[in-house]
Amino acid sequence: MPPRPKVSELEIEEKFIKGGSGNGGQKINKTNSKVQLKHIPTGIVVTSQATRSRDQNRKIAREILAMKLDEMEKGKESRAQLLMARKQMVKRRSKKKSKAKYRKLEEEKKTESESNVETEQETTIVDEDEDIIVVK
Amino acid sequence: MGPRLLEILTRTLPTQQAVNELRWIKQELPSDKWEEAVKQRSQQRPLQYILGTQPFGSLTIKCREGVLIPRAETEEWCTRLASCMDGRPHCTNVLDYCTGTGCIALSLASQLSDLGQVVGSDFSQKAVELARENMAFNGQELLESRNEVGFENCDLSRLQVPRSCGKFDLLVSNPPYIPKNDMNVSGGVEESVLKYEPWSALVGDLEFYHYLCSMIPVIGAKAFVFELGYRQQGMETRNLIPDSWKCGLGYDSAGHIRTVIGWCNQELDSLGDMVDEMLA
Ligand SMILES: C[S@@+](CC[C@H](N)C(=O)[O-])C[C@H]1O[C@@H](n2cnc3c(N)ncnc32)[C@H](O)[C@@H]1O
Repeated sequence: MPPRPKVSELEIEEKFIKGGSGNGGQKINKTNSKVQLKHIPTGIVVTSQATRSRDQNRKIAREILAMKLDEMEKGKESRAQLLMARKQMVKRRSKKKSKAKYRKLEEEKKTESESNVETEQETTIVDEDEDIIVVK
Repeated sequence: MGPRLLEILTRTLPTQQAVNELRWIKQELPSDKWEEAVKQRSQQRPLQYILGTQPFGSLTIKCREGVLIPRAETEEWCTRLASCMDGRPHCTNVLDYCTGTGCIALSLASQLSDLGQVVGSDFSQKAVELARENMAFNGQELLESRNEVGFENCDLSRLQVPRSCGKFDLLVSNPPYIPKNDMNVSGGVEESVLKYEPWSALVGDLEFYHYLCSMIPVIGAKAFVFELGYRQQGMETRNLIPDSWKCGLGYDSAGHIRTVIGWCNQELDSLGDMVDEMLA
């Protein structure tokens, strides 16, 4: 595998999209942690709301952007390829991070219910290209 | 089953949010719990109480009824605070008053090394217990930073000082800051918050900033960061601390006033990175 491309932070404009109006803080309990990145030199915009974690979404959005730019440079830009790569990436991340955590949480809960077969299975990510919006 | 569950969620949530939330429910709960989760969510029970957690920076914070769910705005300033303290002449011993789930104390303790003691205190026994669970739950993330973290039951209105430690350089807090008169939908408070989150974590105003400012000399703090919801709470804080202190307001990423920050000596000037508007 070739090294994964990175994008300089200086070329990125980042936005956290909360949706809704109002003053926020204690008054509102959001579940949305959507992150939007704009690549200033090319104007490409990507977003991620794949996970509940803003931290993770920031990382995922950067990986999507890097991949997108890499594809463009190589000139063999293929949306299908990009989507597939993204799916795998999101899967890998949620597996690596939340899965481990939630398994731990589930194990603590296991005393009450014993049937937790489902948690071990990989649930397919159903949202889709919602998360890759490429605006020119 | 999928389309029907989604249909139920979209009755009360915007479509994209419903799609996201159903995906997370399916990822994080066993399939025999999906139906009940969707039902509860459509009755506005917070997703974090249903799933049992909320991400906070790189931590996963356990949540349950009786203790306030950590907010993204809090996560934001904690991250900002950690990055402006990182590698600089830093503070020893940090007190997080009104700690709730422990998210602020744990987040700072995991991001900054050698802080000494990091203590979270709350007058709610439920909160203190949950905070301790969260410390254990995030043990891995806390390991490397070599801080001593602990949680205690203390009442801020009685200016109680934690028993495990008396002196703290930094005081941080996210006290209840919604005035009683605004505790309704027209005051901007979400239905689900009103129905499911503890009012003792939410209702408060200037009195909390009075208590916090009174704590500063008691524990010998040299710097503070308090979350707030109203400009007046920041102005009050400015008036209560000595004129010689530097003090300013920080905004959140939506552009709302979110924190008041103060410090008493030049060594701590890096806290100026938290400030978007200095107060004279
Ligand atoms: C807005 S919540 C903040 C929780 C947590 N720090 C966070 O940011 O998510 C306020 C917390 O203050 C606690 N609290 C309210 N009055 C208090 C008092 N007099 N002394 C100590 N804690 C108090 C509540 O129990 C609640 O956990």
